[in-house]
Amino acid sequence: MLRSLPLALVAILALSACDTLGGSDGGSVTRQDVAAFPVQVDSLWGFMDVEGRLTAQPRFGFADEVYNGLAAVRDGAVWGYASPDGQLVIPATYEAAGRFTGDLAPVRSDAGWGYVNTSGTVVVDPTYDSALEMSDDRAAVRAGFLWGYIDASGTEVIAPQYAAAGEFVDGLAPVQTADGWQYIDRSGAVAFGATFAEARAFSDVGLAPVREAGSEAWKFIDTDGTIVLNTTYASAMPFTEGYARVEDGDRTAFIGRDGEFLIGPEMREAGPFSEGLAAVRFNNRWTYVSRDDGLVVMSPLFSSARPFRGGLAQVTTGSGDKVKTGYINESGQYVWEPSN
Amino acid sequence: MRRIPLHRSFLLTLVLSMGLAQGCDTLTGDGDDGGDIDRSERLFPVRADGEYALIDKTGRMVVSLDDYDEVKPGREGLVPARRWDGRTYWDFFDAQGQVAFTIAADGVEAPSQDRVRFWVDGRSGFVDLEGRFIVNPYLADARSFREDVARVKTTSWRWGLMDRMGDVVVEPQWGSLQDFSNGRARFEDDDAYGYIDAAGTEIIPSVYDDARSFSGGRAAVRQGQRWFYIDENDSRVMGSTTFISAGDFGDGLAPVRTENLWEYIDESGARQIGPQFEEARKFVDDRAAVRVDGGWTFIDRDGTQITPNTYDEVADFDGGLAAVVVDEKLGYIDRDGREVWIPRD
Repeated sequence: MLRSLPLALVAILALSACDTLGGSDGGSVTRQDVAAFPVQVDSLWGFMDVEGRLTAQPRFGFADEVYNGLAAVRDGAVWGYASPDGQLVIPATYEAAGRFTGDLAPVRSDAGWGYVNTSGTVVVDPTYDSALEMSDDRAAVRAGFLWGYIDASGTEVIAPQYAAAGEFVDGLAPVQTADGWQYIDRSGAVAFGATFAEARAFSDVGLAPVREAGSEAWKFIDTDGTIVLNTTYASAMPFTEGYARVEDGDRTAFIGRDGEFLIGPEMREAGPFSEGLAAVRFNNRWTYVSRDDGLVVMSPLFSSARPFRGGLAQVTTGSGDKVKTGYINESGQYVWEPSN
Repeated sequence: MRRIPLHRSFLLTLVLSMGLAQGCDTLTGDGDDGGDIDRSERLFPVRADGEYALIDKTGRMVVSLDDYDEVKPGREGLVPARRWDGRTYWDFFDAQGQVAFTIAADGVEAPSQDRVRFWVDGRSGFVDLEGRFIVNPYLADARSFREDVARVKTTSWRWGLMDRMGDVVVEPQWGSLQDFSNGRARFEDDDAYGYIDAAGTEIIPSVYDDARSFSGGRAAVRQGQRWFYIDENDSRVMGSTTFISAGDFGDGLAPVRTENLWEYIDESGARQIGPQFEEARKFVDDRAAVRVDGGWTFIDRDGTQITPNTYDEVADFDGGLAAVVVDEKLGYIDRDGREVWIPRD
């Protein structure tokens, strides 16, 4: 359990990494400002800048991506936060540490999950059983079996009462109630009456994927809860930069706001669009496609590929003990050759 | 630098793929891409002092390819060559010996109709002649474009047809399908063969036990033990004449066999070059590869050998030269039978 929680956190982060992208104008491409990027050299982790120059000599057992000027780093068995120059700004005292996607980051100590601010001050005491990263000034927290939300000051603004809780985007979040999935606003009030068998977060174009009870196919609702786009797919992910991933069996496609294909059900797997690019897998390994035309922008292949962020994407080659981490730019050129 | 010994398998691959490539060099840059580039001339891969090089059709070495470990026969003015630099790259050399574009891929075919089929990670896609993706590498299998369509397997094991913009225009439905020629492609259905047109219509039903591609408006087909020829409308030609074996028409002649040795007939079925060949291929560029007394050579339309029958293997003429192999060494001859590149390592 202790070891699995940070992994769960990473998985959640992968979803929340996109919510800072794009505006409310519907699918615009925005590049994040990222201070530094973690790199591994001789098994230790340090940081580089966007040009691939080391900004901090490798010294950490692991370094996560930089958010809000800080990266969660592991020093031995404990986690703290480092700045891009390698300074351990928040001492490594935690069993697990999430990202500063807002003003606060979730950390776990013996007593449970709480939150720290960028100065390292404990803002929320470690009283929760789970704590997710912030988005839209809210973070989901779990007490016992029930989820609620805190705000950026650490105040529990929505008391734990849900079986599951998604992230807030533009003031709305999906939550699982006894009646099914509903959407709430930031005060915890039900946003609209509709209830769904499954529901996922809203995104930059004001649409959210839902599945109605008795239906296999996912649909998209607008912020009034009105179904505005039907699909025939067994799974749908939120829109990012104007396109949503839909899945049917072992095939994934990208559709636009009218349901039109950007890329047909040709992919085995795909990540979300960010900064105009999306990681996709047509067979065993990953590459990237462009939002402009849905075509591969480069042909090198990776064993894993993260979304673009700050003009670069973290990719890995190899697997198991031989996995190497590198960075490519938007042209597919290595800014940092894979290393480990 | 990795040095790859010249194996017979390379030569066979080279020679065989040259054979497959024949007849496709007629496109001279009148497509929608790179229209002002003359693609009528191209270079030819050779071995020189243990390394690859490219020669022009006069036998002059244009560029040495020391850092390359595979070179494929070219088409449409471009020759693909493979090098390793952390991953596999293919450089496409133009007629001046310059790299026109580069793609990172596990394998490529020579250009056809301004498209290059490549494959990575076991999936095929297409790029244009500037290396830009036209079709993502999602196809389970594909072959190069012929007559404006490519046969592809999308996500199943059946073949369909794709247009040059990457749209699947005929849904996959055939377990076996060959390349288009003369507006027809052979399909197989339950061990029987017929032909489709470019719209995917089974215009000649699968009534044949074997069938070859259309060439010169004729296709050799077999029913039972005997071969004969049909035209594009499935009408039998040459009356009741049948053959033990029959090849493709080229330059108005086709190799056929009624006894042990091959001969050439014209479109009326009349013998033009008498039976004297152990093997005989289609005429291309008024030259046909034939085997006599165990050695390969070429004949002209009169049946006259243009070289001694001294080659172990030959490819059809393509772009003015034919690749020849003797003692596992690759050379080239021109249409007059002169060795513009004497076989060497």
